Amino acid sequence: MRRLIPLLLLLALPAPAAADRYYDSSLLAWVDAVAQAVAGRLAESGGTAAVVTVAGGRGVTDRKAQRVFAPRLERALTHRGVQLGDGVRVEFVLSVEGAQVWAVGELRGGGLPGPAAVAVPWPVDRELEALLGASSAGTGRATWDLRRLGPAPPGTLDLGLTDLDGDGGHEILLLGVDGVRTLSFRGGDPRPQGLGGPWPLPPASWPRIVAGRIAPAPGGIWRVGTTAGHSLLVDPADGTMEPASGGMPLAQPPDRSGPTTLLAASSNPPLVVVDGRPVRDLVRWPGDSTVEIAVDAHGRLRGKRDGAELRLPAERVGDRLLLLDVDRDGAPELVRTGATAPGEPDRLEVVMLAADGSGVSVLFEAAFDGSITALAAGDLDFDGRVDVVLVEDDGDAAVLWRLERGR
Amino acid sequence: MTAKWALAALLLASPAWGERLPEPGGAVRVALPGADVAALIEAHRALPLLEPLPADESARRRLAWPPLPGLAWRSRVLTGLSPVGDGARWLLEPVDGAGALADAVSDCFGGDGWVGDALRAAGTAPVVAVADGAVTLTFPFPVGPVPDLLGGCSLTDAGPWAPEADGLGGAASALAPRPLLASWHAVGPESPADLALGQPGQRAARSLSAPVPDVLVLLLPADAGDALGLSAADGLARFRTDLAPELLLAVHWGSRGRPLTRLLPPGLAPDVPEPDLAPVAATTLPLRALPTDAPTFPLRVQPDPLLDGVTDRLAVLLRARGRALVPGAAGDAALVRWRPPVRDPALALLALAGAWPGLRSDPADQERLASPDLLHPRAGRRLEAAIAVERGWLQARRAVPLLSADRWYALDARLRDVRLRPDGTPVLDDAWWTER
Repeated sequence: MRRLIPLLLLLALPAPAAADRYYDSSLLAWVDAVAQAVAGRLAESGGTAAVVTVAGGRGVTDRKAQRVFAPRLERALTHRGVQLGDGVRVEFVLSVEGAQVWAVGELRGGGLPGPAAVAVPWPVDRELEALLGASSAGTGRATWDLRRLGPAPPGTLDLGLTDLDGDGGHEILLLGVDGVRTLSFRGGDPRPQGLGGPWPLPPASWPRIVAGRIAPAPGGIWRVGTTAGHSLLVDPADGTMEPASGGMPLAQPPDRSGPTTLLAASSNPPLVVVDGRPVRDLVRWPGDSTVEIAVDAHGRLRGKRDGAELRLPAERVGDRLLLLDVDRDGAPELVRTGATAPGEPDRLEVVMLAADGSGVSVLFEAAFDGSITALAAGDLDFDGRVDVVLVEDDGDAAVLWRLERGR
Repeated sequence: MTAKWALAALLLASPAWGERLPEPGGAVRVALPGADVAALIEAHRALPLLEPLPADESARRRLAWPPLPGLAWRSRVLTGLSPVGDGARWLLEPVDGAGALADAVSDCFGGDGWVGDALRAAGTAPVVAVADGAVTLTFPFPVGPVPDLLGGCSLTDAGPWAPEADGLGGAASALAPRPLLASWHAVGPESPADLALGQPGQRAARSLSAPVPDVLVLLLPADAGDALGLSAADGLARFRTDLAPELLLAVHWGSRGRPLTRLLPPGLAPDVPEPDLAPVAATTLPLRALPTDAPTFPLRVQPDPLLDGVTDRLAVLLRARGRALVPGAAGDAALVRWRPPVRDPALALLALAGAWPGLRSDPADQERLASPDLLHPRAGRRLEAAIAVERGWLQARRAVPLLSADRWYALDARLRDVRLRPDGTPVLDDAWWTER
């Protein structure tokens, strides 16, 4: 259903009807501004005909540029009296720069004395994001987009992403102190809505450290473990739970050659014990389970390859790690939280590790006001790019965030 | 006694929640090239009139130091900045002392920095006046990017750092609070450093990338002739193929960059339709000895490892065409590593033109640079004008962009909140150590 949302939005858009009308649609308003600029340039040169091509640049795919923008631009130009199919050659590239999407065109030939440029920026809003896939990015990190999705239930301990309705996009599965619940995106609302639950966890006495993990198990079932001693298999479709043997589940990068969940003995603190070592979190390298990165009991990043210690920077990090190819460069990046003390506001960092683990390049870094209590990855918006989803909790309220790498 | 035990029990039972503020103190060792150290000292001793609002800043800090009304900029010098009417006149409301502010703006707009360069290239300068405790800037036409221009200006010696024996020490100024660090000082390139300009192959616990890459550009004077064969129909495509910028980046800059066909790199300007250049096969360059009286091609080059590598390749290309590359002087061709000083593409090109007279020697170039559209209130109009300027230089082969090279800084993993100014200069005002 969500795959149809951009299409329905497109169908709902009115065709440009009047030159200077007020548009409810930012796409149409932008298209009309572009058409007005082109028509103005043509008029200056005494021309009335044009051949228009549109391509995608940074942050906008060719397909979206040609299917969404180009036909509306042609209609808007026709409405402004421009004859299409002959005359001045107009080439546009749509690209995202900072918080704006730009249509930059060059007009050539057709009697023009020389090439002329047309540039029309427009702020990226939710409509343009949905229709063009364009997304704005922060200063200095032009290809990363960190976006607030909406409120999360307080007391969230962990989250997972899973496709519950078979549409190819992921829904959100949340483990909280009060139980398990699912969230989905419906009706074009960018905020996640409650889908199922909360299904309460069996009564148990929580220790001083309240923590829990949720990770996938075979057959669409999810495994839950908490410091209260819960060890459960949960069906996120209907919330049925049954006891399970094992300990704390640690979600691992998707890997055809190995399990996607590592079962570890529960420990309190620091959370789990893997192969006799107490750790707060541990992830194995996709495709090479001999390499693992862990947060040790003291909150420092540790790495091992074939049992030998990797020389990682002696840096204290937060309690959560992901290891996956976020930027689609073929190599996995480490997504980690970066707290420096308990309760201190967290940072989220995406870092690239050197081959021998000796160096870390920070690709993205963002500061939060609260602690990052949950971290997972999937594809929420059907664009084929990895979405890192996290929950920030400042003690009063919890917020769901999505981080995505643009083009 | 019961109350004390109850309080103790409550404290012990409370969760470990509560923000730990950064701990002040500590020194930072900085290893940068000499010219960059001078710029760094200047950036820390002066107080910018405006600073861009970091996009990734926490809400708490943003509330503590909010942006100026209606702007994505904030200031410790101004309480307000707004256009009057169509933007030909701007009103600057100072925190303190309109006279000192007016002097600083006048010095900046007429000075040797990039702001003065840009305004000289545009052939305009505002009238700076003081009235009713405020400063007014009056331009001959509406101007949009005044915040960007003022972001390149500062109050001298008003920053929160004072000279120390071997560097700068943190000190509260009248306008800016004391930095968290106690001091920073420059060290030699071979010495251990906490903040260093990134180099290929350098191991860094953390790195901080400048928002806009450096641009390597070949600037050719009008009388340079056609030593590189650029005037032929496929001359430019052949030159780019033979230059092999990808290989140069791989060998000399760790592949951190990309070939460029235009002056305005990603991060500074949006994409523009690329001209369809037919692919050209790489030429096998003959290695031949040149006679002593072979014609020469004088080229000025700044000392820089990447520029040295590109220069070596240019020497090979020139020798294959029977010319010898020799060191140049003022007025000769120059291979430049250009660091755009501002995030506005039109201002960046104006600043480049102001710094290199050869880019404004031609009457057609002068006409394009004098267009009020380069300073237009609408960003789209400014970009259109910038593209026209850029196209003029490229078509006349006055400027041949070669490649972009990422600029980054290697940081100690424990050093936090180092920020970069729009020109890529690191600033330690907010920096702090997580552990010392």
